[in-house]
Amino acid sequence: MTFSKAAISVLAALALGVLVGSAAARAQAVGPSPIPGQTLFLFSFIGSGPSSVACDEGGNCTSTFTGIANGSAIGRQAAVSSSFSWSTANGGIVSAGNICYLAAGTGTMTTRRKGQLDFAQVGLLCGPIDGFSPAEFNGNFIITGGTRKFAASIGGGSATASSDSGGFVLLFGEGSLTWKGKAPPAG
Amino acid sequence: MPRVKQALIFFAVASAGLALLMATSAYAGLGGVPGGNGRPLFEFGLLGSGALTSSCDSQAGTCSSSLEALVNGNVIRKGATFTDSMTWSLSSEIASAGQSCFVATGTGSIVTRRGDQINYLFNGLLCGNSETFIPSSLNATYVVSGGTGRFANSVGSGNFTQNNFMVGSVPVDHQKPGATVTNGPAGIVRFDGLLTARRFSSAR
Repeated sequence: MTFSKAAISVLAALALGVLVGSAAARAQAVGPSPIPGQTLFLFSFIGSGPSSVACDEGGNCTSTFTGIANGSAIGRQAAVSSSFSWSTANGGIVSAGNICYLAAGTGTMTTRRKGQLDFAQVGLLCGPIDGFSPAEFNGNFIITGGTRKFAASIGGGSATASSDSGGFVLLFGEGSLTWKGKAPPAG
Repeated sequence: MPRVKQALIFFAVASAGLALLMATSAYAGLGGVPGGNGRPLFEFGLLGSGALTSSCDSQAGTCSSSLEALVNGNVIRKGATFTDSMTWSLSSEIASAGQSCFVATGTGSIVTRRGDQINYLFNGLLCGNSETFIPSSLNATYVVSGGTGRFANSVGSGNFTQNNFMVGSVPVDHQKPGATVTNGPAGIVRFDGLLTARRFSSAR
């Protein structure tokens, strides 16, 4: 009888301890921060939504995207909007039936509770020479500012996006971010 | 009553087993496939920051930068020293929409607090505002080229990003390596890839 109670207590304590350890292992990784008072942590997000593209006669094109994203610091259902532009006037980088242009722009993520995160992005936008669809973006994002929780944030990383023939975009980014206080849980 | 106790014991055992399984899988990450050098291959990541210096030689048409940072990561643990130096040719410029990108190449090393060292080289696109080039960002691929101690025969590769920005408003030189930059150019670095090591530890 006593043995059973002791066994139950030990096993329950073990379960609790390992569960706590497991939860701690899922905390977001942090690194030495460049800004005093700001915590540097890994930041990632995924998102999706529709986009549209318009080009003028001079070969200047702009893509506009609106959608939602979930991420390790932005939480769930953050509203994302961005636009980036590129020029086809000077040609692109052509290889194996595909062409790439340098594209750049800005965007925002408006979270449900933590404020707004502003970013810029630059990278290569590539697609088939014939039709340029599906198109893929492989580049960098840089945090340029924000409000509330992100008011003094810095960071950045790599971002990829793909657009299907209907203009629907899948977005993925991973990198680093700073804010005041503890790092958020891993996304 | 005995059934209740049996159920409690079963629940406790099952909870402990499940929690142990979850903790193990969350802790170890992916890894274990052959690394090609007789050692297992594991996920490798690091994150950190430090002071940046850069200069350009207008006559040669080349620029260079160097970063001295502190980083945390799995395998290397906390407080490792991270250095890199890269160069880029102004003739490699790709410009569009107010941004310029250059093909940048470089080398670097990571030295753990115990003195084990990882050497690497990297290639990628360094991009920034065409006029100020601040902030700028590097999107590159790193390849482990050697090392010492635990990393004497390591191999590995992956993604390397470096975000450069200005802290404060007055550019100053920084003599000491370290994370915190009170004023001047700074960079945040991140590795996300693979590495082989003599002994694996996933504590970040």
